[in-house]
Amino acid sequence: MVSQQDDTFQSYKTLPVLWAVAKRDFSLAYRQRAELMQPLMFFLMVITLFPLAIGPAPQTLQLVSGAVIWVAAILSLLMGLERLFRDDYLDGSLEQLILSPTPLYLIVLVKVVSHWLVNMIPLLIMSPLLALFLNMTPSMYTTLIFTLLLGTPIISLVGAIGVALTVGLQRSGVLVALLLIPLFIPLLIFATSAIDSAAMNLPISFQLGIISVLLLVALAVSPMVIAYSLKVSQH
Amino acid sequence: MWKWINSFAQPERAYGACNSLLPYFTFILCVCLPVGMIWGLAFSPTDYQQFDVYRIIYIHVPTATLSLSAYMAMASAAFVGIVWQWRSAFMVMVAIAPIGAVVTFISLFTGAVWGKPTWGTYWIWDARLTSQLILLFLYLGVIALYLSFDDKQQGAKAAAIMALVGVINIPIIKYSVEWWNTLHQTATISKLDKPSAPMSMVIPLLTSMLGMAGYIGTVTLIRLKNELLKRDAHRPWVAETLQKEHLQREQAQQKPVIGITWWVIIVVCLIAGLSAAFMQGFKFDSMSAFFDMGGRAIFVWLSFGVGLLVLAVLFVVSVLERKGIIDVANRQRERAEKIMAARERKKAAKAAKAAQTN
Repeated sequence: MVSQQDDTFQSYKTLPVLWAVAKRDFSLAYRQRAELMQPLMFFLMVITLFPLAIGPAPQTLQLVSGAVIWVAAILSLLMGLERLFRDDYLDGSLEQLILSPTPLYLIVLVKVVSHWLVNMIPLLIMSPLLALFLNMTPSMYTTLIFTLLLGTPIISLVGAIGVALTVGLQRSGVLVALLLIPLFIPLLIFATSAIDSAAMNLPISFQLGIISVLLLVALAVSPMVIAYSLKVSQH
Repeated sequence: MWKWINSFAQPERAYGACNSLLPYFTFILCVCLPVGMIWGLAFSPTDYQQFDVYRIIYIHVPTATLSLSAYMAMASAAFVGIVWQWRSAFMVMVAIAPIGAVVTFISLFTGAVWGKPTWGTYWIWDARLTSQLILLFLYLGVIALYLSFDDKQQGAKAAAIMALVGVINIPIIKYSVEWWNTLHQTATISKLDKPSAPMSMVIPLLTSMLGMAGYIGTVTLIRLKNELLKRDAHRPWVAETLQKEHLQREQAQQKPVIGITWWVIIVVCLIAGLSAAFMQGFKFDSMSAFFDMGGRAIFVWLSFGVGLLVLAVLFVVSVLERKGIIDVANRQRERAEKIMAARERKKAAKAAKAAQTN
């Protein structure tokens, strides 16, 4: 075991390690651009399906737009989450990260944040197009951006727990979705309700406040849980 | 005290504790569940608003209440398992999960059947129904996660983490669904006013609730015993326990887990409970009126029939599982003995050869 003193000594080296992990994840993501595009394409196509199924009436589309975008965002982010630890597990670098003296929960947090950035920025760039597709008003659109900014980190943080638990399994894609979708129900409720309120020009601070609370709780608890789950999966 | 509790982390002690607890839970199950349900079905007064269809409450409310309790029990076991690394606590969790899922399913099913005559629809996106449905999803997630691991110890740990994450989420889900429901509510629902229910309705309700708790306890113990034997099949204590039980059976002095005295007590208490119910007086004009349930026969008997059938199936499956597990354990033991005997023979032959050459 590392003693208390050693710990403080090593904390000087923590930041460079975390920076290296982030840089590695970004460059890996850049080199796997094609794989990164797949969840985005999925997101776009699911959203294209809805007007075709519901009908092109602008009023109806506006009514369901928040719900459609959020459901599609949850599903596509779940698809992308599998990349979070899979490659590291397969090539053994996950084991090295677990063994390194840097606290695992910090490394995991950095990995989740960089994964979120890599997946979310394209989604945000694409979002004006969706607002056009689904006939959203400007106030709905800004609310959508706010809820996505506050809400999708929750998906990444909580989702990473499920991914960490199943990383050792052969086919885990559907299982992760089964485990995690019930946990996202509160987020979905508050996010869509914020967009609905914005559509009716009502205040949205309550819903955004609740989503922020969920985000802070997830931020505080999940890195530790993810780290423990990875250790369970690895042995 | 602490040391005494910790001693049950050993599978052997946990197995013994199961055997000694089993009679008490079986007692609660065999006395309270029939008394509560028969009392509720035949001897409690008719509701002035919903008439006889309200009698579904005697299976719906116990299952609905205890579905959440079973989840809490499962999560507590998961917590103990993760914090103190008890193998037997993980097995408790694995044993409870299917029972909780079955109980949650029954509460949803009976609620839907009850909803048709009272609300006019089988399903409504009411806050309680929705959060109950999500609870069922959480149970199924835990079970699915456990089943998808080949290494059962690792699977149990993963499922335990999932159960604990679910526990953090249950209040959030419940609160958010209730809030969502008040926002979107379109139909007003008339619920049975609980505080004003008379004692003659509350007593059978509490009795069947207790009986349902006894059911969950009994089946948990049976499943836990199975789990202990299955996971420890290669360990010496299982072989010893099974051999001891086998010897006792051969010498016809086997003590059953639930002795004859227990059965006498159970029958006496059952009769006492049923006669207490009879004292309330039969609330129907005739037997055919009883089976008719004021024209709502299909709803009442459907929910009781399906509910009790599912409970019985889970019970029988859990009991039958034991036989298969014991067979496997015995086969493994015989194989190990054969290998040992062959080794002994080889050694003896070698020794004889060595003696000859000398």
